[in-house]
Amino acid sequence: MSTHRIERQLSAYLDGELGAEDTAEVRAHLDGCESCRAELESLRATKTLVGRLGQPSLPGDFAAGLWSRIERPTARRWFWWPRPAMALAAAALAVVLVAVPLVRGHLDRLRAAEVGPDLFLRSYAPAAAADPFVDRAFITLVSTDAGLRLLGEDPRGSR
Amino acid sequence: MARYSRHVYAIAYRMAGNEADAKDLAQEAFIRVWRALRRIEPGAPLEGWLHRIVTNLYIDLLRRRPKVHLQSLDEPVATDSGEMQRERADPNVDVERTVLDAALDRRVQEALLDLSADLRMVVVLADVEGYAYEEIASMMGVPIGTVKSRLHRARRTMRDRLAPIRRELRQS
Repeated sequence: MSTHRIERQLSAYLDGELGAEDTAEVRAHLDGCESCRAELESLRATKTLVGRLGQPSLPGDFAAGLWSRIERPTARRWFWWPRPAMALAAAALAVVLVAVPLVRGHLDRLRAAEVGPDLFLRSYAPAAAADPFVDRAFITLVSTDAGLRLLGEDPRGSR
Repeated sequence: MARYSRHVYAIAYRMAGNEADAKDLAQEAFIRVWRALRRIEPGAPLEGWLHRIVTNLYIDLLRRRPKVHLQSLDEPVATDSGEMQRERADPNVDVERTVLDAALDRRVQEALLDLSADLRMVVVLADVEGYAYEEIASMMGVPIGTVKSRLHRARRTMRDRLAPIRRELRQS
């Protein structure tokens, strides 16, 4: 360890918070370095001085003041809404998240039936890749069907 | 609550530097704990969690409100029945742990208040309250390495600020 790094370890060394290896290394360095020994002693004296600060006594009216503050009503914040309101909002969000892909999927099916799977895929699949609400299962199904047809197989299984 | 108030208040006092702000801080910490208590499991380790609320609250509040008024513990307190002295905890017999007299206490407290709230908290928890680095890290929600470097930086600053006092003590 460099002297600079040893210096930075001196507080932890003083507190007995270094591992065995680092402790041995700092100790070995201290044996041969007067300035680090002086640094350590000054830190030790500082720690001792701060440790001699008195223990303040708890003010007599602490508990009474605390209870009066606890009982004082506080301004309501939005996240302290009553629980039923929060539950309703969460349920509405869940319904929207489920309903949007379902409705979109249904519309996609109608459109695919109208224009045919190949054209639908060519015009629709690139845009669908970036759309988080698209019904991906349906797109996969249509593209697999189109692929099977290209190979001359009937996607419904009958030859 | 009684079990923790003395301790929470002691940390608040050293962080704030005066009785009025310390009382305010410590009470605010208990109010937050009180509100959060309804949400935690009954068996959760209360003490570590309380400390975490307390330390973070003190640092937050003191950052926003850095101006503090210093009041010595040995100054008489005005009460309804005239002035009276504060009660002090019995000092240990050990010379190293003998508490400082009022003037020295005040000067060391002033040096503490010169530190940023982050550094002050580490010094108060380590050197005044005697917690280990690991405990401090968990209370403050920071890695042990951060505690180590903050404490070292804080002690070096304190060392420079307290150099005249150390000289006086050596001479007397």
